[in-house]
Amino acid sequence: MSRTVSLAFRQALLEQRSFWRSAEYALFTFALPIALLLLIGSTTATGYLPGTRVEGQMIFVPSMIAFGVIVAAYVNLGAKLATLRHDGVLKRIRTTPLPASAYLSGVLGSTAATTLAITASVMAIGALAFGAAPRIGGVPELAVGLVLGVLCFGSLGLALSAVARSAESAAPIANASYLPLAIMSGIFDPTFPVPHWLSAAVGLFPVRALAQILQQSYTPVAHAPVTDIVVLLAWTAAAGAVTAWRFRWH
Amino acid sequence: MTTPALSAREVKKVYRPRNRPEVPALKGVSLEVGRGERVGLLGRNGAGKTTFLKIASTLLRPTSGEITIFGHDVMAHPEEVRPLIAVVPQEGKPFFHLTPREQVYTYLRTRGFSRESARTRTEEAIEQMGLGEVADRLNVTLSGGQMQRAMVATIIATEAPLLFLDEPTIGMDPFARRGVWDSLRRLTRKGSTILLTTHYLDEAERLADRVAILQDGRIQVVGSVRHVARRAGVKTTIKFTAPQPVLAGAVATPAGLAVVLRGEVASCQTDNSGPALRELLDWAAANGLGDLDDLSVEAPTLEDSYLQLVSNGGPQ
Repeated sequence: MSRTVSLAFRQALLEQRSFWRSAEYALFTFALPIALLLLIGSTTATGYLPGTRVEGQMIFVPSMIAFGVIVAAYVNLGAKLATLRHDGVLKRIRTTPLPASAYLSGVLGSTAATTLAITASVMAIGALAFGAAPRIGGVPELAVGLVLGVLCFGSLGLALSAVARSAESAAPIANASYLPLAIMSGIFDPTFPVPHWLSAAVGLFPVRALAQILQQSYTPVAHAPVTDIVVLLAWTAAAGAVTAWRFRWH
Repeated sequence: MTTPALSAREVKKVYRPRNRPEVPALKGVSLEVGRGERVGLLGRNGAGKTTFLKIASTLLRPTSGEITIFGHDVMAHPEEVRPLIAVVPQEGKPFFHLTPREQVYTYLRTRGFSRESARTRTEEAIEQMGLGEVADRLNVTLSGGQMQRAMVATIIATEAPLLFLDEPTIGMDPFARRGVWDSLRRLTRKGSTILLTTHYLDEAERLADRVAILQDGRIQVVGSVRHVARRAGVKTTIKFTAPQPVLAGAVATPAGLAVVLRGEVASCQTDNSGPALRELLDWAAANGLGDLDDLSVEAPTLEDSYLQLVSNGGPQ
């Protein structure tokens, strides 16, 4: 067991080294949530949200953290694994004594590290540019949101790479699946008008669930965080099952 | 008797793509590879070579049949097999953002080598593959042939008991290919066993103790290059420059040998070159033709045998 953990740790370090060396890849992974944070944030997300005493940036900044988690853990991880499979790297790894669990945990661990770095950047810029910082009492929500968010969207990234039939299709599938949900979930604009039935449907998906848990860490809003946690856990389990069922190494 | 490095019995694999007819890739492959042997697996594109290597290296489950590596069942206990094998997959790409040196080293560490031993082996493999000058450049900046050398270096550094190489020298220059051959010979001297696929028949001829020709999902013939040539029925060719009296029609060619004239060159084909040569020289002496100029004996190459076998062996 301890050997698997140390192998996973080594794999995570290796993945991190590769990630940071690919300067372009790293830069744009960070650039997307930060650019959106600055662009949309500077135009719309200031002042009270209509009909509430909630400041827009206290919703918008944590929403961008959620967006960063989704891009790094779901979109990038899914596309990357599909490419590694296409390049024959996964099958070479599979024929080594490295246990599958150690490899995949290492990849997830590296994704978690990247996600934390993105989160830290978004939080810092959110605080400096918009004066939005988490509540002192919101730390548990922040921690729970990040841990469950990486687990859930990382598992979904693995599932995506398992379902995508080719390396090319992984990114379009990822974008087509999360972007509409992100818009409907009010990630980019909390006041985006959504019919009641659609809002109820969107609530079943993990995008809004993660955003709401993180929003809770910035400003107490009337949510049911337990429901959001259940939604994230359910999607983690479903994604894990799909991965176990369909993940291929070659 | 020691257990063979690889033993396959009646391995069958049927691919069942959705909405398309099923593809029987292997129709019953039986093959035994002894310890320390170098065996070349040949066959046309789509003959099933890569499918067989995938099954043997724990990547793919066969539809039926049995395959063991040093006595360990590949299907039942892949985790026992993996430490014993190392694989250069077909057109596998290296980790783009590592250098060749880092790639070999981390791969060895992943396989459980100590830091010290991984470092020594890495340097040896880098040198053997002639990667010294590019060893600290990122793989993504290397040429195709250099990347392939980095892949081979990664695998030979393990000195695993059984190495699978799927078209290992593809895209390499002739110097690099010879470097790979030397390294593989060195590995078998140290006790490793090698199963490789290749489309370069000169590579198989120079490197493999035995070749197996896979066609239409079955192994058509297996044995030394000479054995394969005999099975293929490819004859030895004897050539010489036709003396003037023969060209002028004054002297008939020996009756027992079907000599063919093409311009100045006379040639005949035979299963048994000794008696044929004796007959030819006796005939020359009897007719006062002296020593036959440019007399040569060409043994069948693997390429001749292969083309013969594969073109006669059933539908393409």
